[in-house]
Amino acid sequence: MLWLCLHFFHLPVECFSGGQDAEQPLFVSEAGRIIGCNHQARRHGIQPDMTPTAARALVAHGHHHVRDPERERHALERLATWAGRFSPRVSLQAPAALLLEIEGSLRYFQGLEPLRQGILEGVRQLGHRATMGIAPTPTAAWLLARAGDETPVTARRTLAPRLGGLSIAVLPVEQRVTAALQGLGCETIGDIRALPRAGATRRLGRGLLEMLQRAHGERPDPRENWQPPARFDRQLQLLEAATDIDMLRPELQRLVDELCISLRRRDAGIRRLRFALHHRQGRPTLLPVGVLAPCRDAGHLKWLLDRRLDGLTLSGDVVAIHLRAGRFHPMPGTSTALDLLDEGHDRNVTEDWHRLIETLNSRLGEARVHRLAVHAEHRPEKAWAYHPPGSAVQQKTIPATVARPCWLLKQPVPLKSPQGKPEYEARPLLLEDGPERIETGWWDGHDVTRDYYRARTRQGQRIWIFRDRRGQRRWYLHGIFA
Amino acid sequence: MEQAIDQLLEQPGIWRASARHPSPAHPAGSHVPSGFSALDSALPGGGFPGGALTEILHDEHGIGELRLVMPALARLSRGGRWIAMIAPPFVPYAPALAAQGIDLSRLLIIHPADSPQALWSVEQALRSGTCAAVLAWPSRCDDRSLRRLQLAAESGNSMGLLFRSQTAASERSPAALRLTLGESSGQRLDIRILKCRGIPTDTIELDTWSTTPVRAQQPLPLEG
Repeated sequence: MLWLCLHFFHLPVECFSGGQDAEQPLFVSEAGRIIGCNHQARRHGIQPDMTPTAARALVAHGHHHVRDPERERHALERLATWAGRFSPRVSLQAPAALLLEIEGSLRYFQGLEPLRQGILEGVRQLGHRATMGIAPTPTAAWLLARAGDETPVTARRTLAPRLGGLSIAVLPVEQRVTAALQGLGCETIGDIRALPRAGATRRLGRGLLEMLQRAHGERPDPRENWQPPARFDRQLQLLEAATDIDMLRPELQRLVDELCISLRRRDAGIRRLRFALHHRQGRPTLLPVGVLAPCRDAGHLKWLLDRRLDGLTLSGDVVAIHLRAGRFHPMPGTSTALDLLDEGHDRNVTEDWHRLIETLNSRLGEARVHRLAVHAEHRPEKAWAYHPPGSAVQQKTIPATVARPCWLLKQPVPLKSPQGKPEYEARPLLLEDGPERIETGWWDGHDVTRDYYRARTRQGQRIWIFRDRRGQRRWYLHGIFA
Repeated sequence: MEQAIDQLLEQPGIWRASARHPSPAHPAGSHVPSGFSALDSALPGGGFPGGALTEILHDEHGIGELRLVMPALARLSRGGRWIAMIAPPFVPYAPALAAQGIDLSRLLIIHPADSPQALWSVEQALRSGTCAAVLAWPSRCDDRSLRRLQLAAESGNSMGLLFRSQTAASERSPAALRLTLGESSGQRLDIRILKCRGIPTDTIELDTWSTTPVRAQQPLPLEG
């Protein structure tokens, strides 16, 4: 096992700047003291341990933030998701470090040095700064990274001498313990290890010594693997308010890319994306995008998003974009290379079919594309239903003994009936078949009691009419035998 | 001399209207039998042209315009592809369609908001190659959009059925088959073939009412 630790020593500041070195000075304070600032702020003379009041006196337009551990945690989780491209085993080391098990990745990245360079380059591109430690145990890698000692320790026998030379300042311990160590005359980790064990345990506590044992590989050091959460919820604040859709497209596409990376990390797919475009005032514009089968194809999602954007007019400037992706679905294993079996054709037809429905959905809106289902019900208006195309539909039907019309009217239309004889479009009707009495539904308040007839006009139109057996006993048109 | 003419006529590049040979672009298998023998024998190719547009022009609802195509749709719905109905004028009544033998799990109903969207949806459905048949009730349709639909039907090998009013009969249309449904007197439906690929027959009288199955029927056997 070989562990690589990335220690993001500047994370309290970087989590506010979003990884970009902003134009504006930015400084972060904790307990009334400044603990970090960006490059711009340093140029104005801001230093750690200043009070925020003193710092604000130095810069007029600076941003002052109070340290936000929650935000740091989110930034670290994002970095962990990103680090998944270098190793399948990534774990968080709170508050500001990541541990990657890299022994299995060395071959793929052609050795330690290219891997190191790749990681450092990636960290730089993300706008972060980190020190790196490499050691056979995770705790040792972490201590080396905290010390800023970047020379890798690859062999276990060189571990103790290397750790022994580190100052006690790298240990993540309270001030009280540091003072106690200095009182004992310990300046390095090697000095602590040289102390008699029983006495040291009594004076320094069990925790510190056990941590050093883990660092030296004398005690098991299990780490929990980082799993990106099975949801995606990201808000992008736009530095410049977007006035038209073309300005938004790259930002929206960047979010889709990020989503697809985290989907690939979990080997999952998505069926529903919800974009919200936040305006300065008023309700956000919602842009739902849906697919029928779980998908993590960024190109396809972007294409559907584009169709959705085509028909959109912005009601105002957009200041922030929010992407929330619904449940992550497991992706059934697919192999695109093996199409030797005959299933290939069927799958293509199904894929094309999904693509057609997704296209229609994204352009027309989802409430306009339906599947049809029959229900086991005698009332004609309740014997059918529309369903969304992706859903599984159970078809239950009562075998019909009498012909039913292919067209049904949404609402029965009253017919004129001079002298009690029904007419359709001022044409007298011949009753061909009937009556079929439908009298049911008393249990749910929509009870009907009707006599249905099949009727024909002289022009050969066949329609389905009924006479309500209650009230005025009026005639209604309910269907057309088209 | 006669031999020379025969040799000339045997060249595959020559399409003869009098022969009931379908053109090379539309091989025999691509025709969909209507299920009514009187109509099938009158139509070149023996049915509705697959991979092309068919216009059905009628003024009144309820004279048998859907019954005319139901047997063909029932057969197509069991062929592994889907059927789309776009902008139908009424609710397609599921129990009746199921009773006619249509596999409802292969049916898609689309209600677009307006006429341009309807035409766009018809074109998408025809072009996708996943719909065996696309039935549409467009409110407005000009020559140019019909041409687009015809090309889409060809490229997606899909049977496009457009139901339009009889006023369209005087307009130009690139559809492969145009039928006018006359007022049916009693049991019979008068069908006039306005245009087809091949020799037109005059008028067909069809008894769509009593030959269509009423009860749920077994799926029709597939050809080929």
